[in-house]
Amino acid sequence: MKFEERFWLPHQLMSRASEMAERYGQRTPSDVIYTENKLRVMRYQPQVEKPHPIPLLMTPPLIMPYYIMDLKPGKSLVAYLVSRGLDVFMIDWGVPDASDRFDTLDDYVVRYLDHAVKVVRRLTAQPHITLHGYCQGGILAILYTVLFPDKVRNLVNQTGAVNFHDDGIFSLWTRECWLNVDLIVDTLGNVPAELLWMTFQSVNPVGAISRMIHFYEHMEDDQFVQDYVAMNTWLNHSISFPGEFFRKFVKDLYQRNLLVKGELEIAGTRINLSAIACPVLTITTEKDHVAPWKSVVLLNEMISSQDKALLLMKGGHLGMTIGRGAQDELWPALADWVLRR
Amino acid sequence: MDDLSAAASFQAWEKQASEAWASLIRSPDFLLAMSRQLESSLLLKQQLDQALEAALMAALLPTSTEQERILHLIRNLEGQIQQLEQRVDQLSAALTARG
Repeated sequence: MKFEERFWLPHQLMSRASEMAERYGQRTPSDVIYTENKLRVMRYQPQVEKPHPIPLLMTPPLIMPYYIMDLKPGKSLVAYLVSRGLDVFMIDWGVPDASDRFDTLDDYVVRYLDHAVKVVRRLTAQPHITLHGYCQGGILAILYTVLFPDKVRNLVNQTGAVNFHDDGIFSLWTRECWLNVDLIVDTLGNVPAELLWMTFQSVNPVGAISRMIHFYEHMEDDQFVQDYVAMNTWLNHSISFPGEFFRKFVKDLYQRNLLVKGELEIAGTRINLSAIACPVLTITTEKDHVAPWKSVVLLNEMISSQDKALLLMKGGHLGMTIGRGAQDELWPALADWVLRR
Repeated sequence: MDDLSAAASFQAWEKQASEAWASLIRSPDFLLAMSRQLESSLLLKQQLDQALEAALMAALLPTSTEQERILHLIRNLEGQIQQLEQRVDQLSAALTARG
């Protein structure tokens, strides 16, 4: 490729980024089976005649779009799980508007998540489900399992931390001396997506420069460009954080570390992690800058389940789900564990 | 500079820059500066909001927070009605099945 062509290629690629994101960001076919306010629950179309009887409900974080687990063909954990014969459901929390600032952490657990579980149980005529939670969704799944043990047959916690006083950067940044949570929520309502995006970008700006240089080096590789566009579309798609949820999430979890102390209350009930007795799979990575692995693994030490397993992966917080190694390591291990139960 | 040495130089820069940045974002001076900047912006916005709120109250108009709270309550009610409807449907179906 001539220098002039190479010079203009990034501009040409970026000028049709939205078209490419649309084209390469095709999702696994699904049907919306439930909506409530911004919440949507989707059911992926099964690929086998008789899917596994226990439905799998996947719970993403609130502040990033659900489709990290269904990024594009060939980069989709969901598509893999469906192809293995699982009956997969997905929560899309949607984008909160200003009136959703009053929704609390409790609302998301005992109202939205419970309603999603209810509709999945009803539709599949199953008394209980396998609940999978990713990152912040993992924390919601843990809280839900404590509160509604009869509805959760198996729990998969992927990078959901239970300890928040660790050496992670967010543990430091959210300390009371640096972050006035009340001032943020009282002034802004929801925490704006732009502020969250900037915060996440600030953790590792050098990584962003490296990715750009890597992109420049590989922009003639169509497959690489497809993956890059799909991934960056997701990375730049931050979602605002409902204000009251943020207030309790940061104050009670990050600042007071109440979950690990057994003092967190959700809808008037104290959360005791030892109440979890169902089979639990905890998945984490060695280089997770969002939820340090030791803070995630602690869950397995605090629950009373006899059947508990730990998957300590390589790579980072996102790479574990859609990185090159994910298809060989995480996806089959996760599917095998769920299918055996 | 050939490609190999350019790549090696970049990797060295990447490592050093990452370490320097990681150290900066954990330093108390940086955290204090960020915290103060965010707080002062929020306090300014809070003062503007309070002035606007006072003007709206004087004109007997609802503030955006009041409107948002009402919308939130309506949405909560909508959700509860939705749940009740589903419950009624389930009970009706069960009764029909029993004949």
